[in-house]
Amino acid sequence: MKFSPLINELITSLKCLPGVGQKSAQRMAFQLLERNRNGAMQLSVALHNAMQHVQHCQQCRTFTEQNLCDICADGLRGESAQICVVESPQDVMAIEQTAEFKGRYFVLMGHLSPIDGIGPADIGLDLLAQQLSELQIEEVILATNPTVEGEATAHYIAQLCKQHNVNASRIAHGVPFGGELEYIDGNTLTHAFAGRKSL
Amino acid sequence: MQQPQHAYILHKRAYRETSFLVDAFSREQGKISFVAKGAQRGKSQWRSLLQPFQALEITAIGKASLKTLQSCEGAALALRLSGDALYCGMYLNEVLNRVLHPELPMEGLFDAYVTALDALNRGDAQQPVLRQFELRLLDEMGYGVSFDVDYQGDPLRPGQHYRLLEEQGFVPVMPMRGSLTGDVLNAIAEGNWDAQALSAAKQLCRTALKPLVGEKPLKSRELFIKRVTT
Repeated sequence: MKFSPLINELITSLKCLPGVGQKSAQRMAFQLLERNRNGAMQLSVALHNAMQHVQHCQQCRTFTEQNLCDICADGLRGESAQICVVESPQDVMAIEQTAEFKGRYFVLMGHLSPIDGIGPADIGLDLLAQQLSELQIEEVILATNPTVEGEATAHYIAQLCKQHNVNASRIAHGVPFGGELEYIDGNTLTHAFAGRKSL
Repeated sequence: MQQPQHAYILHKRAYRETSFLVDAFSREQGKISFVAKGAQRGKSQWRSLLQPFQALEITAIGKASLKTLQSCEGAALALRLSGDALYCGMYLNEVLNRVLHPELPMEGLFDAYVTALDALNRGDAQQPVLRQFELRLLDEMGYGVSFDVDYQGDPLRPGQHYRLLEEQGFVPVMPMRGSLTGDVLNAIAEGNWDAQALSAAKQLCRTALKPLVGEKPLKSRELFIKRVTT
């Protein structure tokens, strides 16, 4: 049996969502048609608006519908001399929730991964280099993930900073708060030891 | 029951919500691909193990070319490459990921890879490490070049200029652009890495690797170029 063209199109379109295959897409399509037309209309409007208007912040590259995101547009924070470099907008949220950091961000939207064809220009490092040379920046805090690619990215940016005489620092990594040494894997422990500090 | 294999991760990408798709270089089986189910979960021990430059002992089951990771243990602590050594390591991985054929054992090449990683980790000069690895790679893939004799089997003469002809070897020529003298080639053969031998070997390897890695430029090279030009 074949579905009508419109339903078919809906199912095919739904499959662009991550983790949604033919079966789930079918289920979603019929659920929306049968039981939740209002929700679906709202979804389509929201999707349309977001896709039309959301772009990258001109200063930090995170997602926003303005030219500058809220943090960059904030008088105090937007001109802060401290930049925290993170891999994704989710990382910005995570750091914001701690309310610990008062500077602004730079969002790479990924990390250096030559094997995937992602080089320095693909994660906006030319923009960062430009900001390092043109703006008054005192410290760059590298908060990329503690993976091999994250380390490579951090190191590359640290070299950029050195060229522009800007301090670069890397967030500490090691034993999680409330964790027990006994259950921590060897690599994390080695990192924790290598990064120990005197008291 | 399958024996665990020695392997290094070459490449990993997220798959579904909680899993990874992994390409690894195993000593016993060559390049293998497998799914590491649940490895993206916060509590998974595999998360920290499934990183490049970590010696692993893995068992992956399944008959198809995409296998399922069943067990994975660290054979040693991960190498903590940093800076340029890390970029070199990423370069090795990118080259290997391009040239290896699925499930074709390459034990000699695997050992050369481990040797190269160890040398990078020790902080040895990086250029010779990379060149030695590349020459070994060409050898193992059947594209080897002999650096001590010319195409007719005569020993290379120090003062003579030579050019490398594909599938033939070094042919004596008049001095010209791109030709190399016998003493430089001898230095490469003996692993005597002075500046001249290094730059000659770099050009030779680059040309010889081209048919293997394909036309698409290797991205890891960009990590190095930046600093030279600025």
